Amino acid sequence: MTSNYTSNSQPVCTKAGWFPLFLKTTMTCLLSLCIALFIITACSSKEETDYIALDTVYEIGEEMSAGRLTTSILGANAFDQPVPGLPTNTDLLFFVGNSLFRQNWVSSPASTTARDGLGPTFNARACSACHNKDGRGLPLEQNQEFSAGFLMRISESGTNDFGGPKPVANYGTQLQDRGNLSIPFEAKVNITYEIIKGQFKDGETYELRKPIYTITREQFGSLQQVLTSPRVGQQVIGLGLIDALSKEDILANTDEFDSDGDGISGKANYVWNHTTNQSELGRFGWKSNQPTLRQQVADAFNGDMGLTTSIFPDKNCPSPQLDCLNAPNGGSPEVTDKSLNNLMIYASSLSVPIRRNYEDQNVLKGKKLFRDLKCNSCHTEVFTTSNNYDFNTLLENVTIRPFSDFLLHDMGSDLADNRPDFLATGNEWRTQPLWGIGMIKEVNRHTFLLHDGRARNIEEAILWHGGEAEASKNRYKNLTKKERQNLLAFINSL
Amino acid sequence: MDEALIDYVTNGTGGQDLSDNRQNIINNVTEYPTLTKDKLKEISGYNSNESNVSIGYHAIEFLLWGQDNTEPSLKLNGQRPFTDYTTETNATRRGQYLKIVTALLVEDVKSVVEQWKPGASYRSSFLALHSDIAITKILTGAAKLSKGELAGERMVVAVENQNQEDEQSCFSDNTHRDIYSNAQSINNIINGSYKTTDGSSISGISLLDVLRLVSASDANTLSSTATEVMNKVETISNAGHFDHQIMTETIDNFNNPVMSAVKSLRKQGDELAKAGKLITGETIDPSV
Repeated sequence: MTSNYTSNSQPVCTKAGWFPLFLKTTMTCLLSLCIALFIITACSSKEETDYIALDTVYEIGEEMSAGRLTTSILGANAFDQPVPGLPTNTDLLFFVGNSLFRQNWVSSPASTTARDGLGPTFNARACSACHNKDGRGLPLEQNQEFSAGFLMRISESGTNDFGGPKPVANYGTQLQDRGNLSIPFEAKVNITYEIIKGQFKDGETYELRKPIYTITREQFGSLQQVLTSPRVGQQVIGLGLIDALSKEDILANTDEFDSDGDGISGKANYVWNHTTNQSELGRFGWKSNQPTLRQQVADAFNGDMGLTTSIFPDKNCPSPQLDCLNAPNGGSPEVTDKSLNNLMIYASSLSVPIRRNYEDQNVLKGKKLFRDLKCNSCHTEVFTTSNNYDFNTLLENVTIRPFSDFLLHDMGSDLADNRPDFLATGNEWRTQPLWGIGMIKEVNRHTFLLHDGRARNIEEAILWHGGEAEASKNRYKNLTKKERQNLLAFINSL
Repeated sequence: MDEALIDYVTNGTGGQDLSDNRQNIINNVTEYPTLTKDKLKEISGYNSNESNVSIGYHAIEFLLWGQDNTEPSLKLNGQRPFTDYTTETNATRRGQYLKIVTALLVEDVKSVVEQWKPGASYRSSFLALHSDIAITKILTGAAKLSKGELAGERMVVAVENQNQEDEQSCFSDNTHRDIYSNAQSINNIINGSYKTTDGSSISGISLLDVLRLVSASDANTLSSTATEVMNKVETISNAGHFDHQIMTETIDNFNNPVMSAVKSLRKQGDELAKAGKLITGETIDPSV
């Protein structure tokens, strides 16, 4: 595939490689960078004489993960922030959407008619249950029947009418592990962990925990033979900016049959858009199985909370769940278009926090390693949003640094869920954006990563990489301890 | 508020039958034979991340007033009949529920009071904080309550949703007083004085006193905004029946009482955040 870093025709001054410091350039875009170089070299080591690697220096603006829309507010509310510059009216609706996101929905009927209709079966009572403070959900732990952020997708072999996963009879495509009072839940999920031991080249050992899931207490027939895919809620930052990317810019990185022979494919998922009624590029979700932010939100309302919208107007009560079918609903739809719109304003306006420590030497060295190890073959650094995002024009033409290509990659059999989702095979996952990853610890007080939270920290997440990322992972295992720490420092600065 | 989980509710849009007693705690004697503090805490998800909203102040409010099912123009609050506690089905259990949730609220409020007594652990740890951090904590609470919570969550959301019950005290129709009292609590910190329930005054060093040492002009601006806020919430409080007031307002017009107060509360939140920055150098986020 093409070089990710420069493939999006960004106004980025530098390119990985060596650059003679003494070269007089008239390129204006390099001018301020050169000043930065002089400042850095003036107060750092004297070993570097004629040459300095540009990718071990600070690049102007690299800390602005969401470009001019980056929030500078850090701390526990770092993921809660609206992009700067929202017009007053939109800012007020941001609060309305925030309230819909944060507060619990309740069973119908209730005096809070704007917020009733939960269930009858559900995984969570509020968006914030799995995306606490707009952050990341918790994985299932041993001897615990539910978590704040975990759910299990299920399906049978084959596809539905739209080319997506085939629902399991009596259950659908997701296990709802809770129900309103006197409505049966569908089933519960239990987890145990098997410890896998490994070793770095320098001899240091590590342990990974491999999750083993068991579905228990099925209420409507056995689920022991179905396809499963465990998921945890992702942080919901910068989603509007991803929604505002042009299809062409994402597709530019595809290389499904690896024609450039770098071992990295990059495959687009094409999924069903239930509003336009056609197949479209997927870009949201762990397998890129949702085409738009609006549909992603509506699907979560429906699957996770049992709430109907104009996009998904049907109650999520597969026959023979009669108590579920007969339970009162909270209106048709339960989430009005106006509320869905306010939630869209909220979700699309969430910013991305500014990077920290981005000028520290260890971080800058880690950045170079990130590129040397080819992590950026999939974790694409820079995109620019399109010039036609009508829903919120403030998000147009913004240079962003998501560190994702939003495409599918074979991640190997150890990470595989073996549950196809539209064109995504059981081995394929969407590249996760890395922006904000270093703030999860402060926002959510944990560092669990990957689709089911099996990795306990960033290093474990790297070590779980396989398939197309096997070579990069092995390069990581070959690094010295110091180099590994530098790379982790860089990722933590994102 | 998950009142349908607590007690019977009116036949709603979904048509829950009044005789269907399975779906609420008071009337489901089979599932909940005895009502205890621990049982109600367990159902509410006490101390866990996610909960059924079935205990607390508004549960008491619901049990006393009942659902407000009348049109806002009638300016009536919930009309729960007293017979719910005498002759109606499960009257005794309803009374038990009310007494238990009231006792729980008293316990919780008491625990806060205890934590602030001289020598108590929270008071001690708070006083041990660096003054900049302590001031930031105080002003973060005040700024967020002014802009994010009160103006945003409590008032704008209600106006935008045009939902008579999307307000703080929807059963008793006491929201206008909630708004006034919330605003007063912020004003107490700004001006460093407040009146107790017996009418006496307690005062000390105010935020304005401290701010004035750093920037007299910012202190003057905040002082006048604070006065403006109290005048505007007083208008809301005097008019009463917040559910009726929101019906004539939209979020893009700041000339009417509710949205006018929203505008001033947002301004006050921003100015409180700025005051924090000026005094301590720390950034305060007043929004969320």
